[in-house]
Parts: sequence; C-alpha cells; structure tokens
Amino acid sequence: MENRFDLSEKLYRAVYPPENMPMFWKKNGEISSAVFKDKNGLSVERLGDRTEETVLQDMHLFFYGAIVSVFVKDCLDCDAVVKYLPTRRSRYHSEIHRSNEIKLLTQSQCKHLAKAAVIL
Amino acid sequence: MVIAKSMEVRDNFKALCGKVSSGEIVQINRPGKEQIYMIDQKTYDSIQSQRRIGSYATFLVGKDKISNLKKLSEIQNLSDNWNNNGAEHFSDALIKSVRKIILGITYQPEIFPTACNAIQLEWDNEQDEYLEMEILEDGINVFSIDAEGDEKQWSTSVDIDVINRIVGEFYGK
Repeated sequence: MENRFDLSEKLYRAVYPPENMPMFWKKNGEISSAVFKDKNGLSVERLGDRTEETVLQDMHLFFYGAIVSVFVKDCLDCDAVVKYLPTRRSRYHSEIHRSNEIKLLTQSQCKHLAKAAVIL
Repeated sequence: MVIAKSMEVRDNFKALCGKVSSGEIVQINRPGKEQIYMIDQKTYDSIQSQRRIGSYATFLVGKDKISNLKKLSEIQNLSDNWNNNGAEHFSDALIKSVRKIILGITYQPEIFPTACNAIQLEWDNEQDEYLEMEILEDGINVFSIDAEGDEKQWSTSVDIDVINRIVGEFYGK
C-alpha cells in the first residue's frame, strides 16, 4: 500500500474503552476531543483499498465498541501529520501525530478532529 | 426470591406473607411484563432510608456534581491499557485533585479521561463558545474557543479560585 494519503481517504478510530463508550459522549451528542488524545500516537485504520463496510467488519474482529471516522483532509487542515505505520495485526494501521517530531496532538487539533468526526 | 403470578398470590397469600416476613422477596408477574414486589418491613425501611440519604446528598451537593463524581469513580476504575494502546490508570493524586475541583467549582463541566495522563473538563456556553481544561498532577492546560472561532491556550496552576474565575468569565459572570 502506498505511503501517501489522498485528502479524501477516511481514517477510522475505535473509541476505547468499548465496555464504557458513553464515557466520551457529550450531553449534546458530540464526542469529546479527549477521544483523540494519546501520548503514544493516535492509532487509526486507513480505508486503503477497502470499502467502509469491510473496514468496519475488520475492526469488529478485534473491537466491539463505537467507531468514528475523519478524513485525511481534516487532519491536514489542523496541521496534523498522518503516518502510515502498518503492524502485524493490520496492514492498514496508521497514526495521526501533532507533527513529524511530536506524537501527542494539541488541544486545538483534537477539538478540530472531534468536530469533524462522524460517529459510525 | 419467589416468583409468582397474580392468581397464585391470591390463592397462597397467607403462605407468601409468611415467606416475606422471614425476609424472602416475592416477585409478582402481572400482565404486560409488569412486575411488583412484596417485601418485609425491614427491607422497606432500608430502601426508604437509602432514598432519603440519596436525595439529601443530591440536595447538598447538586445533581451535576453527583453525576460527575460518579463518572470520576468510573475513570478511577480504568486499569492500565484501558485504551488498548498503553494508557496508564489514573493516579490517586490526580483523582483526588479532580474530585476537589468538582466539589469546589460552581459551574459543573463534563469530564472525560484522556490517554495523556490528564482528566479533561469541558464547558460549552450558549454563545457556542468552548472551554477545556486538561487537569494534570502538576498543573492545568486551558484551551478556549470564542464565538468568533478564535482560540487561546495557556497553562495555570491547580487552584479552585483560579478555575472558578476562568469558568465564571466564560459564562459572563
């Protein structure tokens, strides 16, 4: 798979902990920007060569909670960096970082992504 | 627990009362999936007492505070690797600090765990503005977005008076 991302490619994020999903839901129905804060790098699955249906099926093999999606463009709009980092578990694994040097996204970047995120 | 239909209760009322008196609970299944219960005086008094304590606590502390304290307990119970990516459980010191904030502030936030050793507090006001605080063990990262979309980010100390002032200003008080 290519190392580059199209702006229109979707990235999928599993919301943990799955047994307690409402933990990240706000009273107004939005998700909290806290979903996007991870000092170890925000793990996502890229759409790649799959349909969205297949992505969700694949993710539900390992995860039974809620999944949210953002576009690559949403990440670039807030100056975040999308890195393709395949693992043994998934050749679609990628991460969203603050910059090339720092993994943890800023509060502003997280809020931007939370606003753009679609709950699937 | 004894489960009985309404008709069975009618036919065996005396015997069931005897069981209830000895501490048994009788669940009576009524048409339409409705259930009612027969309980003894001791159980009834205990329920009433817990209700009174619950409503007194709500009266004293406030519904939103109670709700936030409950959520904080859930956050406290998250174990290591709760996000499946190495997030650590939250330290007792941080939980204690956030509990103190919840109890000490006027405008209650919504609270969320993060995988960066911080507990996040969020407020939204009627002007579509946003205020966020990441509570860390040794400080607070504050982030706000005003009605025009302008963002501000700064750090401050964990101080109830400072937090109350920032949140008060956010609500125009």
